[in-house]
Amino acid sequence: MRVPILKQGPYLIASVQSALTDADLLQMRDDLARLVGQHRSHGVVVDVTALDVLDSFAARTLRTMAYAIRLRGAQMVIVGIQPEVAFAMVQLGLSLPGVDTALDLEEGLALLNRKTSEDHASEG
Amino acid sequence: MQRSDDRAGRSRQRRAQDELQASQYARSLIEASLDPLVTISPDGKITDVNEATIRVTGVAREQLVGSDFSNYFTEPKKAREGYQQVFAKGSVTDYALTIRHGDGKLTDVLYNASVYKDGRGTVLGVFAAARDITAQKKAGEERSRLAAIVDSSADAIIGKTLNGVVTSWNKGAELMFGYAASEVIGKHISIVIPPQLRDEERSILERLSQGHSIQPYETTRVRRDGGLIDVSVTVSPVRDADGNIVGASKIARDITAQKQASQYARSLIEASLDPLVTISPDGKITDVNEATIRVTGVARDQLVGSDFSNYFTEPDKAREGYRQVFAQGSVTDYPLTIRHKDGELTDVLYNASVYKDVGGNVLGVFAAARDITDQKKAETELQKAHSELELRVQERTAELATANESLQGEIAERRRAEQVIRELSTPVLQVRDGMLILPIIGILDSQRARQLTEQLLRAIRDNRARVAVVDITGVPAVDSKIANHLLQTAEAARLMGATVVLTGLSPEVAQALVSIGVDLSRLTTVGDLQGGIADADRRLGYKVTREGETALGRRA
Repeated sequence: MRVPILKQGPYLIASVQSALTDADLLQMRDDLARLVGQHRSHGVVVDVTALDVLDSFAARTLRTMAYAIRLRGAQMVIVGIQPEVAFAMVQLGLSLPGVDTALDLEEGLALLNRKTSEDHASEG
Repeated sequence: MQRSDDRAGRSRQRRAQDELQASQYARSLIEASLDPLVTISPDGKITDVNEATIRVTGVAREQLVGSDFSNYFTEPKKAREGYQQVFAKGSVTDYALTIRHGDGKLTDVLYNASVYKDGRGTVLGVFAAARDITAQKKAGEERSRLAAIVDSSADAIIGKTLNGVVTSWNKGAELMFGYAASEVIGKHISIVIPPQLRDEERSILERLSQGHSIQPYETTRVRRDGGLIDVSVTVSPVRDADGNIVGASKIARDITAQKQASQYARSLIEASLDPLVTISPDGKITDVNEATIRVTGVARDQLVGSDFSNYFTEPDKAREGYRQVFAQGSVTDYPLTIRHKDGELTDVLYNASVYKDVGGNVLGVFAAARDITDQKKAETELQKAHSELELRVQERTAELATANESLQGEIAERRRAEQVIRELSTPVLQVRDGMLILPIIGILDSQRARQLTEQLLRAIRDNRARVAVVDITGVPAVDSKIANHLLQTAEAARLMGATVVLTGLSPEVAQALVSIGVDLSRLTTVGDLQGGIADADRRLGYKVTREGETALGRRA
């Protein structure tokens, strides 16, 4: 199932609704990398609240996605990792170093706001 | 003289001729006699015999003549005495002797003998005539043999006239009726007939005198002592030489024992509690016992002659049943239901087989029914008991299930309680919005550590926390495993968007962790809880000031 991507102000929101196949993940990665440029978005929130499992491929893909988006000049935050999923990922060594995380969509957007204002502030 | 001589000579000659003729005549008479005739000289020698004597002795005439008379008898002495008697008395009559033939055959004879004399009265010898009495004797023997048979017979054999007057009465009759022959001969037969049966006797004698044959029949007779006996009677006509019926001979056999045996068999049949019935080949009842009457409620005389199948709920099946018996010789455990005339039903199993006469001809079917109502009732009751038992088992099972459920509930309750206790052992406290404090006291083993992780991560989600301060001041020792666990917990919290601040590492713990090479550099650590809270406040953007201080500060 293709992950729907919404534009919310300067941000894009990719809301994963169900378990994803590897192809779906790659498709989302490509879509986000393309849409960030297209919409001149400052940030991306990937909401995985609905997922109760994140395997190594998914974790790696999310990490590379974050790096690619940062290279495209935006920030990416992963939100909604459930407690069980988080601990399982840590135990598997998939701790997503260098990737921002937040509790939920709201926190994610708040984090993006802080980050982008910092950027603007430093620019300013 | 010459003439007279001639005359005398002629007369002599004629006389001689006459004598010769007379002698020849006498001779031929003697020869013609069928009785052995013999003349004996005074000294006992045979002087003449006839043809019959030759036949009876088997000895030729020449040898007989001149031989001793007594030679030819089984008792020579008796024979000698015989002819001596004749010489002495002049004659003997019916003197019994037995002639022995040359080949051994014996002939019983009676001798009649007398002396014969010449013209002067001189005894010349004995003339003896024997009469063959063998046949006569045989007949006598036969008669006495028959009489013995009659006498020795256990059956009463009675002769009577057509008027019923007893003419003969054998030993069997004496024993059977208790009257001696001398007492009854000449009396009327009715003394042994019970008064109510005298007509029967009359009609039998009447029919007999008309030449009808009488079939053997069974009746009752009365003994001298008044006791009744069952007898089987055969009556035959007695005819005279011309074939006229002059009387009756009656043979009576005591069948009391036989009757008793039959009565015994009958009583056995009647005594049977199972309904027994005999059926003719066309399906009609020919006999029933008392049990059949009871089970059908129909009287015996109505049952007998009626159709067997009438008394069942399924007549066709009943008919099929006795057809099978005729076809196969028997059936066993054939189930049928007898209907009482009041409507009551009796379940039975029929066992039936054909019965035959002496010649092997099938006379009918003998069928015995076994009442299985009680058996069925017992079965039903058993089934009822069974289902009751099952019901009880079900009830019990339900009770157990309920008990089990409540037990399960209790167990769940207990689990919840345990959970509460566990949670209480590692309390997660929110001190400000977005800030959690976990003060850990006591030994931190791996199970408690895992629990700590679960609770912390869940609390982060539930309280939307962004910073969690974990204080391990109260933990006496931390090994590498627990340290790594704390690290993992911190990373998991980060994935959820929260930061873990670890506080209260004692000097011993810190040195121990360093010496075993645990890298806690990725973890935010602050010296004590106060510092940890302050750090958290900073991260969350809180600023804690004392009122006075602030006022003083402002003033300053």
